[in-house]
Amino acid sequence: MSIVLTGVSHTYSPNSPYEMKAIKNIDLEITEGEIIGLIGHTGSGKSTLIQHFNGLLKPTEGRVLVDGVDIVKKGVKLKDIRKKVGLVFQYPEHQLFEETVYKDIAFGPKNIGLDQEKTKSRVRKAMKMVDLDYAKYRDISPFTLSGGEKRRVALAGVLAMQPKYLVLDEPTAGLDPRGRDEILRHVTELHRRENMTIVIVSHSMDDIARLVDRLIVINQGELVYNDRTRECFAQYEELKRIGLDVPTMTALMLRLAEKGWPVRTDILTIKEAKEEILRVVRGGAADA
Amino acid sequence: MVRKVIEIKNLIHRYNSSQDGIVIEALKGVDLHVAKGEFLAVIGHNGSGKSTLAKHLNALLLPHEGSVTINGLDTRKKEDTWAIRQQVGMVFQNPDNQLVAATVEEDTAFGPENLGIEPVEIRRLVDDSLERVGLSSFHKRAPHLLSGGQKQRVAIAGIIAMRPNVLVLDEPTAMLDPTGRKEVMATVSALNKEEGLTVVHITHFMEEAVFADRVVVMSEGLIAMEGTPREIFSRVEEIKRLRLDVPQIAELNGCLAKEGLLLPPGILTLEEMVVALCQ
Repeated sequence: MSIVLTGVSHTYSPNSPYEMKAIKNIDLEITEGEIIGLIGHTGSGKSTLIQHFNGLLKPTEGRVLVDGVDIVKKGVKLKDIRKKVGLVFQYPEHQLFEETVYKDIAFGPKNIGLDQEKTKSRVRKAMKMVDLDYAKYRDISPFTLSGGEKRRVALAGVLAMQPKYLVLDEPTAGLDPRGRDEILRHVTELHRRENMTIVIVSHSMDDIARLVDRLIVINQGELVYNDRTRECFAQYEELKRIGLDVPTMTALMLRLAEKGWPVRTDILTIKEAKEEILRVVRGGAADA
Repeated sequence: MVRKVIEIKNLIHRYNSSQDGIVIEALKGVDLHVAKGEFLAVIGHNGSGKSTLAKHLNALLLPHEGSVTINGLDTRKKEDTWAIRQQVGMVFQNPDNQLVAATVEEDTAFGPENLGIEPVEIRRLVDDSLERVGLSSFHKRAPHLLSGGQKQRVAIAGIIAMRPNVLVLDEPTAMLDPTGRKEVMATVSALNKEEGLTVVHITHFMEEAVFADRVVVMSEGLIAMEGTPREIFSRVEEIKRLRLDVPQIAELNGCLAKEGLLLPPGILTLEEMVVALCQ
């Protein structure tokens, strides 16, 4: 099962002086069980693209299939698509509105007609996934919580819908380093333990480097790369040209290579960098 | 003697929760001085009081106890509020919430116009400010069509056109892509180093704090640590306990040390690491 985009374009305000083609002719497949990163500079079309995954936007050209179902086909209920594909927007805590944490997370499940018992079990499970203690938090107003906690409540609200695909738009923006690590750890666990398919949009190349297997790079509405993370970050010159960057550790290896060090430059994480530096310093042979 | 632009003494600020009458003490007695021309970075976990502190620097908030003095002007004196706001400019997180006009130059002129400056002088200030943030050629463009980094630089231009003494930035790069982040940091750095503008930079990116003269770490409404970036980021355990982190390069240095590869301690930037390794 998968989300498949074929030749998808989206034009805002078509046939008007403000006409703007935000994404152009995108072919893409997101297969169940993957964890994928999506990067691109501000205004490159990332947000437009992800809103096609659950039918918030409809393609002006091309086709979007979610588990084989065309999202614009007559008789298709978008409600069913949105149950499958959960979208967590930027600063999702701005969308909290209920009096208590419980009510806020329960809003989605109730809305799809689940009874009290089922709703309660969904809320409990969702809160557990993001490490919010049920007894401690359920009756608290979400507005009294810290930034990191609020964001976890908002994430739990989407998780309570038990989506198969989870799409997160810059989930760590504005969080302190610990809050950032916590959210990323939850995302990793949702992928590993719950087998959820994850698409994560981020401006942090360092976070992307340690998180995802595959990377989608878009620029001015066009798909530039769609490859394994390591292969994508090997295109550092092109990435810089389109307003992006490489992870800190990749940049370090590139600088060392420039200085004549015989290092591999396809390094992504601190652990890999450490091993590669030690290998060169100790005069070992390269792992091919 | 070093001239102090900002003097904060025992600053206490409380928020009243509207729902249940609970009083939250966001600042619990902060003492802080900022010298003229200094680049100060303020880091701290979410809810540590950083933004509350920032809003005291130009009298957007007033002390419940203690005092804030800007170049000798006390923020509690109502008649000095406008003089203080002219001296201390603020840039916030969201670039889209700060731009008001239809073109870049009109946006930049908004502040000086409100100060009642002569049109000829406004023209000069606007041209000069846009040049200093590297956006001269963008003066007729519509702000909403710029990139995030460019928008933040327009916001900065609008502030320096008012000839302030202090630039306060509250997470100005949180919503920007890597290029935007670099643009903003390069602009702020240049204004500080080349023109001596005093900068207070609040950030969650440890890599940005590295370029400050001094780092202040806030926690639970108090200053928990203070020192040069090198001093602060060598106290790894303490930093992590305060929900923060050290820059990736510093962490790599720590990992290498554990494996017996001892480089000079206190390496913070990529270039420093390259120099140390290539020796």
